[in-house]
Amino acid sequence: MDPSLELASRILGTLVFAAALAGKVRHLDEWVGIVANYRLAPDMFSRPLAVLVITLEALVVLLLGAGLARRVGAALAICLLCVFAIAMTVNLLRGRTEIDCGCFQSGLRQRLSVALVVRNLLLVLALSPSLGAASQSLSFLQWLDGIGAGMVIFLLYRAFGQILALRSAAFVAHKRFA
Amino acid sequence: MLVVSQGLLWLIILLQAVALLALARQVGVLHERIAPLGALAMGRGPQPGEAAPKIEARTLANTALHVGGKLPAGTLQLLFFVAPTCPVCKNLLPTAKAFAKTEALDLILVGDGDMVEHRNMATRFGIDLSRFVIGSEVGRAFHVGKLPYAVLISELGVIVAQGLVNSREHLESMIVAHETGLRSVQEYLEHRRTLREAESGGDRHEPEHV
Repeated sequence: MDPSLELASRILGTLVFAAALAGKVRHLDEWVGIVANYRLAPDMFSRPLAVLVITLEALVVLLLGAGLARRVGAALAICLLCVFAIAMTVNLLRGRTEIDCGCFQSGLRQRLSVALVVRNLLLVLALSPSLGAASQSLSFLQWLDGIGAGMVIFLLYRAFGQILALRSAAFVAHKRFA
Repeated sequence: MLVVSQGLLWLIILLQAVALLALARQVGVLHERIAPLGALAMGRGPQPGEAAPKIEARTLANTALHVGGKLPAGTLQLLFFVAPTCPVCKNLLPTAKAFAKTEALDLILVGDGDMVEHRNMATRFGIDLSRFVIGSEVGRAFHVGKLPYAVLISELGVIVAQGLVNSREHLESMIVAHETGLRSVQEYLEHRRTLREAESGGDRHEPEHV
């Protein structure tokens, strides 16, 4: 695989998890409430679970960002994304779509939807190049492409997340006034 | 050279992505701030909460029709003031008809002026002539100054909401006024602010990040 792809995937993973981590740390109490709302564990485990997720996300940022144990970091990131996707699917199947997804992507509350599960699976796909063998030395052009692609994909990921949140906000508004 | 052009390309794509994100965020901000629409109340004549004037008016079919006063239980009467010369009225009339049908309102059109023009208008929009009042008494009683104007009257003969209407949303706001008991958009915004203040003061179970 081209080393610029690995670099792009590593940068994307670092940025996605760093942004998610910042949102969760900034709104810690709400994050605990959101974990409880998922109703996947007894209430007393909500806080430890919330803290565990934050710790693991911080670990992903460190490993992927520093590039020391890139493959471990990527594997952990993919595991986390899959767990989130499963948690959302379980609640979608239960019909609990009104709860906040806890994505902390925008100021708007974001309801659960299939689109979010698909988004997580796409992220898994985008992070998979980081699982590959250690890359050989990169040329300057490859550095440029890797960094550029990683950053642009992250920004587009945020923009689409925002648009998804808007769509669900519009849906709620429509339901309220219809 | 290749590195420079590649770098330039990435820079442009990056700026575009930033612009897209900023736009999406801005739409979100607008979404949060957008105020609900409501019929524009003019603040003259009989006000919401007061009894509607009782008038016996003539229709285009030359029959008598009672406007205001008590109605059969569960009925809401929508007076819609129009004129054949008012373009907005013509645009809104089909909407008002459909709206009255879905909300099960007793729609009465009120016009003032040339009989023939009003009759042509009624025929063109498929309005029952016996539900189209012609004459200036009703408009004067409700102090109607601008068209299209709408008044919603409850089964007790009390004015629920009234105002200048330009869109379906304005008409809907009148029904919302009936359902919520809030008579104007100003009152709704005030009510919402009080609710929010009360909410932020107490404990919230449902997490919400704004």
